[in-house]
Amino acid sequence: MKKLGYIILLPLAISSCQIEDPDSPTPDEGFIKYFGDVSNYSPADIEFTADSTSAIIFGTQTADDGRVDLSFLRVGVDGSFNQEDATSIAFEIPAQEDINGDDVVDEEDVLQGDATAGQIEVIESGPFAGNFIFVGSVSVTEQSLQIQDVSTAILGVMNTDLDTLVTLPIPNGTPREGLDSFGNDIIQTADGNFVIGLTFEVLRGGATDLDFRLMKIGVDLNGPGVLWMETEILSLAGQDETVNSVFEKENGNLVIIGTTSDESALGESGGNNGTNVTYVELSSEGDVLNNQTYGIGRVNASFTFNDVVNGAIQTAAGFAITGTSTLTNSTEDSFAFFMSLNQDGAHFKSDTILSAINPNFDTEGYGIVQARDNNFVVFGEYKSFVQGENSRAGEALFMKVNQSGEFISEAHYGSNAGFDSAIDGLLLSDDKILVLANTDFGAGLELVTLIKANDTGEIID
Amino acid sequence: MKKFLLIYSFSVLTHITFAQLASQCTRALESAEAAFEQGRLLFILDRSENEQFYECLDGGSFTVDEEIRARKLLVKAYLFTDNEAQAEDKLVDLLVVDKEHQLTPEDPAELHFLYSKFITEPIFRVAIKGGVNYLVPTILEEWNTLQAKGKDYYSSSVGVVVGANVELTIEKHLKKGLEVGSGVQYRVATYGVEGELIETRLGYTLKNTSTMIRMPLLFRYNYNYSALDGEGNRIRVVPYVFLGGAFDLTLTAEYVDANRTGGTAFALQENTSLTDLNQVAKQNISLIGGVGAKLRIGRAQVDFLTFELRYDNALFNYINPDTRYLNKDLSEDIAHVEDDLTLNTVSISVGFTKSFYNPRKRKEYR
Repeated sequence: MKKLGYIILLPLAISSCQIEDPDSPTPDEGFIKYFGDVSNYSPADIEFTADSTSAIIFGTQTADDGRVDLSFLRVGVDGSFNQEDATSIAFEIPAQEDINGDDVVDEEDVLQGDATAGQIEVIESGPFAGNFIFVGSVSVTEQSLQIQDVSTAILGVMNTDLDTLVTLPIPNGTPREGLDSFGNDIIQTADGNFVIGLTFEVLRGGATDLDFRLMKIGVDLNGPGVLWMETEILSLAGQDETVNSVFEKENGNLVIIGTTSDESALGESGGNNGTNVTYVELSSEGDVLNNQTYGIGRVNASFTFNDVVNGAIQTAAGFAITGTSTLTNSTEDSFAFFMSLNQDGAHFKSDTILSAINPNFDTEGYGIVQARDNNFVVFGEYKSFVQGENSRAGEALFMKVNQSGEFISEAHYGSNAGFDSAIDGLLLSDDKILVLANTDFGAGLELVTLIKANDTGEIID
Repeated sequence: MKKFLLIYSFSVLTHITFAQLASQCTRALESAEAAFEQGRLLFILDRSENEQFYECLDGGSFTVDEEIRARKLLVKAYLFTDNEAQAEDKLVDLLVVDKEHQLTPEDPAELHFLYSKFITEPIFRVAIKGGVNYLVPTILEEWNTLQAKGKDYYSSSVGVVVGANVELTIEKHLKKGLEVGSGVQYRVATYGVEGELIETRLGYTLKNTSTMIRMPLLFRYNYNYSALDGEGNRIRVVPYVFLGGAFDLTLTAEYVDANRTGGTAFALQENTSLTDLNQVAKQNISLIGGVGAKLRIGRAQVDFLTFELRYDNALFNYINPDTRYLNKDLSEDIAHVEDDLTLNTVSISVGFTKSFYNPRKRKEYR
């Protein structure tokens, strides 16, 4: 009987063998990961943490009461995630008047609203080194105060445990005055201070328009202190200028890349009524040195191309910019564009970049990263609404172009339930790309999505 | 009425005729057996002297047991008249009627010796089995789109999913209860999986069904294969264990019943075939092990009814590791990505085994 027992055990032992292929890809080589525990996430930026083993994702999320808060997720570059590495902030904006009825204007007189995420950076030096600094804005509506959708720029510092250390609203007057301010970008300069790219609404006569603002602040243990604020960068009556990105050049000069409705020096089409890409170089003290405005070089006598910058990066050669160019035709066709400038802001190349699957489908450009081979990957959205032609509603777009903006390859991601988009990306040490996207599952469920792919968008080589 | 009476009369007459004939055959056999006991061997072998006996034998009028007794009697008669060639022929005739005829200790030593010169075992057996299987995937490497929680292959949402298999094997007994068998199996197997992106708010279930042609090679050890019970009969129930392997060829693999909870309504829209998208391994190799029991059936007790519990363990990854993200319906609509896994099954089957014989002299005695 004992012998029979052994005979029975033997096949069971042998039957538990498996042979794994050592050359088989591992889950950290390529993946799609979804994050979120509330119904709606909208990521805006992704940056490496100080040790580059993980990344911080900055965006917004919709709370259960419907308010939109800033959200922060820290994820491993291998896609790993712990539930405690997520937090959200409901930013409070000073009302600057007594709203709680105690006849005192103090810190209790605050307003809450819906947040918009700008950009986040890892602090590389100073007392907060290793922590994160971010900018954005909060839109407040308070009917009792006649405040209707007034945005206030915000700044914050968060430590590596995702605890908020510093918060700083940057209002444009009082909320009741109704003038917006937006926090668009922030960088740490070589001197350890920070430069914030802001967009302010300016009242000129009876009308308002948007202007660039640049603010330099120092942040120490006592909190942030304003070093200077440059307000006269591009102040053209009736023309809107919105900041997208701020950079510091090797010589210490600062560069703003944004969108303007000012006339273009190059590539303008359809007359002086479209929006264009603008480059502004300033000294380290904020004095304007150089200003260039370019339209996308596609000429069509019938339509204007309204070019809006959504993403820009600094490269060894200069700057690579992406955004969306929208036509003023009846269907308002829109296409992602690529533009490259040299280090002094001189125009090198620009054009719309069309999908190879169907060049007639609208695309949007939201972010850009330089691949290891020095070509570029543009992130955005591919709007495939035509039935039977890869129709999956809005898809996250991953398009690789060469340094002249010419198409190399294309990949799409996303559900067919809604409008998915790729927002930004990081170049990883293994030369792969970490794509920050959002996936819309429909019925109000949108999740942060992280995709690791090679530089042509293939998740597994 | 006349017709009925006619039919009734005919059937009664026929019955009486057969009964009389059977009675005559029994008497002829008993007469021949008595002659053998009396040593009158030539009487048995002489067709003219023993006409009724041979008429019954040639005409198939003996019962099976009587025919076996008659043919064995002829073997012994020829053996004791030193006509070994005829004895061998008659032994073959006996073995055709009674496969694996069991000699008794009372049989003469000469017959035992003659018997030992012959191949009396089956030359092969054909077994057909059918049964149900339950897939037990073994995860080699977990792949997940979910932020924290892994997939659940045994969730109540998926339920118990069973498949089916049918197998045809040709088997041969080697020696001492050890058999080898090989053949072909057709298997339909399904596993279900549940994934949850946001607990209770966004998740999915789906089933993956594959069909395979498998070519097993099995070695089976039969316990008490030749053992006899106290009455000298072979033990009817033969337990066995077996080991082996199989070459597996995937014919089809597809997703069925994919559902998403949360978001807008979801339905599989694109190609649900994993084989079309080259998402599964076309070939695999499995190890097989199991236990079972054979129940001897039939008059000669040489055919079997089998009951078997088997574990099939695939050695290599069922999923093509390079193409797991190709089906957007899965990876991007319901957020499912396949783990590296092997398709292992537990199966229960019932079968029938038929033995085939070609009784002949062993090579060394030819």
